[in-house]
Amino acid sequence: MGTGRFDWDEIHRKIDAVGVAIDSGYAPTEIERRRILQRRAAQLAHEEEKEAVADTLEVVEFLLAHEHYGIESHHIREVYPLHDYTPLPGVPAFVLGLINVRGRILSVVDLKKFFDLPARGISDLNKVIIIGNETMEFGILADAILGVQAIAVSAIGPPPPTLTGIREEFLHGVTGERLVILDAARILADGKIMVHQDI
Amino acid sequence: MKWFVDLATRTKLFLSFGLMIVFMLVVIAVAYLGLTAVHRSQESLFQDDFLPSIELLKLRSSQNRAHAQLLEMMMTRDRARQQELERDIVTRTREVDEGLKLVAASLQGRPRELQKFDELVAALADYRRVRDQQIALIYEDKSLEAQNLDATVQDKMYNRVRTLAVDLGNSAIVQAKERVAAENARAKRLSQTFIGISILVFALSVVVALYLSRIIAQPLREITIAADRIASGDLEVAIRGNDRQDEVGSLTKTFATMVRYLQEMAAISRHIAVGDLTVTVKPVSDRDVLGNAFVDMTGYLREMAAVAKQISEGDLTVPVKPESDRDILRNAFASMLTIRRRITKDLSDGINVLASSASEILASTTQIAAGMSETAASVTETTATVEQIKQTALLSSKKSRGVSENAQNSAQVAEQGKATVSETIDGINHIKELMETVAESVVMLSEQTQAIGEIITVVTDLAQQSNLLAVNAAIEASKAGEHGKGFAVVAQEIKSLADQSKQATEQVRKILGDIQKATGRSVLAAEQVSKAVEGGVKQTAESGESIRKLAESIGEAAQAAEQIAVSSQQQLAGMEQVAIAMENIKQATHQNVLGTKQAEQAAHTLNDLGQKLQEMVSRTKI
Repeated sequence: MGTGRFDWDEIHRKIDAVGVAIDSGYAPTEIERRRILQRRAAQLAHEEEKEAVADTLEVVEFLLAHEHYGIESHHIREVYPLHDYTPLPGVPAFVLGLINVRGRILSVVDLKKFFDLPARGISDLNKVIIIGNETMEFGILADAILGVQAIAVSAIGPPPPTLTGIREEFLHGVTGERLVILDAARILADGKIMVHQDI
Repeated sequence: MKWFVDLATRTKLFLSFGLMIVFMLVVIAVAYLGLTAVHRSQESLFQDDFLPSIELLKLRSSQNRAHAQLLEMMMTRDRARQQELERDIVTRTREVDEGLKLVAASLQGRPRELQKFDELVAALADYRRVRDQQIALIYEDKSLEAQNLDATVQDKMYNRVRTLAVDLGNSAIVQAKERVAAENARAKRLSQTFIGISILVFALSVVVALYLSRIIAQPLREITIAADRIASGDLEVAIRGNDRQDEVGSLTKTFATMVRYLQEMAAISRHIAVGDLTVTVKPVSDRDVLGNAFVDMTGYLREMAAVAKQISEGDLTVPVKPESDRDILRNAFASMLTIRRRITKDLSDGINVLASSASEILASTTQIAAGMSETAASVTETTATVEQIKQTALLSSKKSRGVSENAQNSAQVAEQGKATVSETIDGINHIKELMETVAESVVMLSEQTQAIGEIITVVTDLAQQSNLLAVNAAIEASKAGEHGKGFAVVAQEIKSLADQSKQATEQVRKILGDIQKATGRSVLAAEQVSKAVEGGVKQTAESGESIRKLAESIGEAAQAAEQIAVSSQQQLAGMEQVAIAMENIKQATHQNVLGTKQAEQAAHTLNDLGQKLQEMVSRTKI
């Protein structure tokens, strides 16, 4: 059976090594460990640099149809995964439905309808960004949450002149990395989002 | 009359009947003319002869009556009566005058009668004059004088008138009688003429009819009689030839030709009937059915005769092909040929066999004679040989025993081989089972990797939730302002960890995919090994079977060797008996030699007979 060519001892040794490795938990190799450490160091160094800038704006960055958008974090109550939303009949198309966030019933607005962006299917991966002030509180549908960033105010430029209408109204500005900063205060104050309709 | 005979029959009939019609017309004309003449003479007879006599009778009667009235006038005294009578007399007188006029007219051209008539008229005038005197006397009442006058003068006058009238009437009657007699004579003459002409016409008609019958019906009847005889098969009829140009003539000629043709055919038939096939038949035309049939028949018979001749000369190869099943002669010939051919062939074969057998027998008997003496020598040699065989049988008995022992040893070795093969099969089957276990283990591993995949899904979910948690933490930190800065860093770290977890799970998932592929390959390999092992099992089983058969063969060989040993023993005993038998054979051989001499002579005779028969048969061609 080809015993001359096939080294059974080698096989046994390898299997034993794998067994020991699994028993003792995950052990990254030397090269891998170094790479991870280097990456963290670089990140920390970068944060230092940003801290040096005086006037910054803390924004939560999220994706809407592959476009990057940001909302100032002090308007945001929290971000929440979209579970079990309830569609609401008799409301405009931009109102996706209602969700229950720890006992509070909130409506969810799909900004893509406002911005004429291509619609995508709704899944569990979708997230809801809950914004609010003293009078209003509702959720904004996001395809994915990318994280919190501190952006220098000086880096924010005016919106491009091609944007008009409702998009222009809600915009705060655009950064060099094509991050669109939305003005949450205006969105909260805008009457168009309020649904006031007798049926 | 030749031209009439040559006319067409239609024309002949037309002319004959036309002639008869002309005769009839002549007869009718004559009859008509005669009748007309008789009628005319009758009329003149009445006018000229009977009318005057009748008028004279009337005249006489009127005269008598007038005279009677005159007498009555004299008798009576009554004036009125006298006047009435006188008027009557005047009337009668007028009637008489009219009658006289008619008579005068009818008597024109007859002087004798006219003279008499003039006398009558004169006498009548005298009478009337006296009568007028008498009437005058009566009116003067002198009746007696009137009567005297009457008695003296008037009576004579009256009688004279009467006499004259009677004479005239008689002469008229006499003349009329003469005329009637003349007319009768004439009528008789006419009827005689008519009868004569009728007889003539009748005679002519009969002549024409007879002539027509002779020139048309007679030849036809002759032909009919001849045709009747031909129909009854008698062809010895003589048709009188003529040179007539009409239908009858051509019919006669054609009929004569036909008879001649039939007679020729009959003569040919007679020739053929007596077997003379040399006659030649020439068909009159293509449509000559009988002639063509005769040509075919003579051809057919000649062909058959030729075939028969060839057969009689012994040539049986002549071909005969029947036209149909009803071609009796050809069929008979064909079957005769077939049968004769078969018989001849059988005969020839038999004779050949006989001849060759005879010669063979001759040769054989000669050889037997020679062989017999050789046999005697051989028998002696055989006896010696039998002794040698006896020795050989002894040797083979011993040898076969040795073979039998060897074969038993071989059988034991074969049994061992069989056991070894069955062990080999067990070993291979064990390998097969192990391979199946390996395959099952690999499959189990594959299933467990699936469980790992599920765990990884949970880990991914956790990473996502951690990510979200990190974002919320960052938000809270930013709300806390300056105090939350440290917390923001922690939140960032948590997010980073979550991202890493996500990447790690991706890697694990990839590795799991590789493991899955490897598992598939292992299972495939195990399956191939399993199949190879099955093949091994089959081959081993076959070699086991071969070994078993070998063992059987060896066993049979051992048995055979044993039997050979026994047979050799029996052979030995048999050889003794053979030696005794050989002596008997020697004596029998001597007697055989004598018998063979006689057989040789008989074979000679048989051989000669065979040669003769062969010669006879060879003359026939098949």
